[in-house]
Amino acid sequence: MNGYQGKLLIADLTKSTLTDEPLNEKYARDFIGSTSLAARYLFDMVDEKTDPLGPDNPLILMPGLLNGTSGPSVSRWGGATKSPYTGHYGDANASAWFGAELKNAGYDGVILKGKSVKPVYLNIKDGVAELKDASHLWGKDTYKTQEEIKKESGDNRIQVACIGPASENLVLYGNIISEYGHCLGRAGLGCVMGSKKVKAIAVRGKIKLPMHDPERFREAARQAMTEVKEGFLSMIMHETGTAGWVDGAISYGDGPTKYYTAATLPEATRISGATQVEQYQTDSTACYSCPIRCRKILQIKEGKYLYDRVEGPEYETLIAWGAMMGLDLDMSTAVYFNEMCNAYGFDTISSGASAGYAFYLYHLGVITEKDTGGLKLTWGNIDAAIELVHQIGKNQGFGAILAGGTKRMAQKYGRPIGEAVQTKGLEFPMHDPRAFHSMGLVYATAARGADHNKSDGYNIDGGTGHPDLAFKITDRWADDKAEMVERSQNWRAVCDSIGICHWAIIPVALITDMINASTGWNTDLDQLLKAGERAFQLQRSLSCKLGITAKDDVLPELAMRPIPDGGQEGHVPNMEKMLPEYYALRDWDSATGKPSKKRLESLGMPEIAASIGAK
Amino acid sequence: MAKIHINFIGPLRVILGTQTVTVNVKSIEEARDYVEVHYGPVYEKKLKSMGVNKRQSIWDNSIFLLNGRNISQLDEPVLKDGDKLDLMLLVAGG
Repeated sequence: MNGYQGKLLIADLTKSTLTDEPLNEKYARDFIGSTSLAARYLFDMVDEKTDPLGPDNPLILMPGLLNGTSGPSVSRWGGATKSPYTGHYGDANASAWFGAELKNAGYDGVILKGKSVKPVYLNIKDGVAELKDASHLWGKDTYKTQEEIKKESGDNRIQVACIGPASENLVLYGNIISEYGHCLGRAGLGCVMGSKKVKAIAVRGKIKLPMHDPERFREAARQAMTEVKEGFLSMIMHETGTAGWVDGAISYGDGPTKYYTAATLPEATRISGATQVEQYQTDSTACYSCPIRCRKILQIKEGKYLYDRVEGPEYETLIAWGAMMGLDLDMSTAVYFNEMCNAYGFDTISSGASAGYAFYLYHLGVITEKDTGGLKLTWGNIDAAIELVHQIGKNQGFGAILAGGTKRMAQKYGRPIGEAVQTKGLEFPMHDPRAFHSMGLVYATAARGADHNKSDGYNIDGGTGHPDLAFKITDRWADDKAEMVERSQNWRAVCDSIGICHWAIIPVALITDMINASTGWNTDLDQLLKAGERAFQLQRSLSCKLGITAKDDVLPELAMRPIPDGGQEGHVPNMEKMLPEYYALRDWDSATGKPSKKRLESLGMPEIAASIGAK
Repeated sequence: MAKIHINFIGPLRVILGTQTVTVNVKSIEEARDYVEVHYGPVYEKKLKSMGVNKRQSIWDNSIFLLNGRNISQLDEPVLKDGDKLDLMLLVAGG
C-alpha cells in the first residue's frame, strides 16, 4: 500500500504479546492518518461502559501520512483514546521527530491494549518490536527517561515518547512527551499510558516507505520546501515562535488573566517571543523536515533558575502559568514553569487553568489556607504557583484536587459549573473568545472539548489563514463565524491527518501532488476537505457515542462576562446566533447533537450512523 | 497635525530594531507613508536575509490598534497629540 508501511503494531500488555496487524486500507483511504485514522480505529473499540483507565481502553498512536518523507514540515503525529480526564473522546497532536521515526521503524501506528503488571517500555527497531523492563525508569522525569533509554540503546538518534511521574501517579491530564517537551498534550493520553504501566515507546528505523511515484514526490516536495522557506508566516514564526503571540495577546486581550476576570497582563511582554529573541536566544531548532525552525534555544544567565541551553516555552504555557494567575514573571521563572511541567509530564493548559481557578476561589474566599495546605493563593504569588506545579506532578496535597481539573473542582466546592472555564470537561486554551468570537464557536464544537488546534479561528481573523482555502474573513467581533469555523476545522483535520505543521503554508496544489505521488490516489482539494469533514464528523459521532449531547456545546458563564478594559473592549460572542448557524452547516440534531444519518452516509459512514442511532 | 507614537509590537519590533517612534502626521494615511518610507527598506532587507524573496509591505501585513481600539471599528479616526498607534505583524500563536 503506497504511502504506508501497511501495518500496525498491536501491543497486548496483559498477555505481553506483540503482533503485527495489516492496516485497514479502507480506513486509511477514508481517514488518511494521525488522529483522524486513530479515531476511526477507536470508534470500534470503546463505548460508554469502557473504563478509561481499564485494560479495555486502547491508546492509539499514529503518524501523519507524510511523516518520514522529504516533504516540508511534515512532523505532526497524534493519538486517540477514551479520555480519563473528560470521560469521552480524547485526542492530541505533537510534532518533533517521533512520528517520522515510527514510520521509518516500519509502522503506521501502535495500539496499546490491556495492562502490564510491571513497568515496561516498548522498543521498536526496523520492524522488530520488544517489550523491555522499565522498572529502573519508573519514577524518572521525562528528560531523564529519554536520556536513559538513548544511553541503553547506544543510539542518540532513537526517538522516545514517554510519560513522567504525573502519568505514573495517574494525574488525569498527564501527557506524553517526546524530544524534551513536545507532547501529546491534552486529554490525558499520558494517564492512559501510565495506567497500562507503559513508561515509554522508543523507535528507530530505516525502513523505506513504498511510494507510488518517488520522482514526482521529490519534485513536489522540493517546490513545497521552497514555498515554506520563502513564506511570510514561516519567517515570522522563525523569528519569534509561538511566544511571539504574547504581545499580540496583550493588545487584543486574548490572553486570560486572573482567571478570565481581567485585561491581559501587560507585564507578560517580559516573557514574549520578542524578548526571548532580543535577550536570551542563542540558537533555534526544528522539528522533522522543517525549514521554519520556530523552536527557540535560550540561555538564561540571570534570575533564580539558570540554564545554559534550554528550549523556550510556547505561548500557551507562558500564559497558562503566567497571566492566568496574574504572575509577573521574568524569563528565568517562566522557563522553570515550563521545564517542571514537562519534566513531570502534564498538560500545561489544563493545569494552569486549574491553578488559576484555585487562585480565583481563594480570591473569593471560597477556599482558604486551610484548604490549600497553607498556600496563599493571592494573585501574582509566584512561589505558591511553583509549589502547585510540584503538588500536581506528584498528585499530592492540594495539588491532587487541581489534578482533577476545573470541572471537578467546581463540583467539589459546590460552585456553579459556569465557573469552570471548559467545554466538555477540557479547559479553554489561552485564546479568549471575547477577543476573537470565532474561538467561542471553535471551543463549543470541538469533539474533545475546548481545542484551539481544531481551528485557529483567531489566526484566520488576523489574516494568517491559508490563502488557497478562501476563508471568509470578518472582523474579530463579528458573529458570522459559522462558515469560516466549519471550513477551517475541516482543513485542520486534513492537515493533522497528513502530518503538516499548521505554520507551513504550502499551496494546496503541491499538497495534493505530494499525497498523490506518495499514495497513487487522485485526490484534490474538494476530496481532501470532504476527508477533513469525515474525520471531524467521525470524532463528533464518537463523542456522542460516549455520552456527549447538544447540552455540552455551551460556553461557561464566567468566560462570557464582558471585560471593558484592554483589548476585549467589552465584547462577548453571540453564541445564540452562531451555534444554530453552525449546527445547520454540520447538520447536527439540535437535541442530541448527533450528525444526521444523511450527512454521515454522504461521507461514506453508514455504519457510524447506525451505531450512534443517527436520524 | 498630531504628534503620535507608533509602537512596533512583538516580532515587528525585532525585525525593525525599534520599539517606538514619535511622528507628526495629519492622518492614518500619513502614518502609513511614514512607516513605509522610513522602515520599509530595513524590513525588506531583513526579510530577504531570511529567505523571503517576495516583496512585502509592513502596513499590508500588520494589524493596528489606535489607543487600544481596533482601527477597523473606527470611522475615519481623527488623530490627536499623544495618540498610540500599535502595529503588529500578522502572527500566529500556539
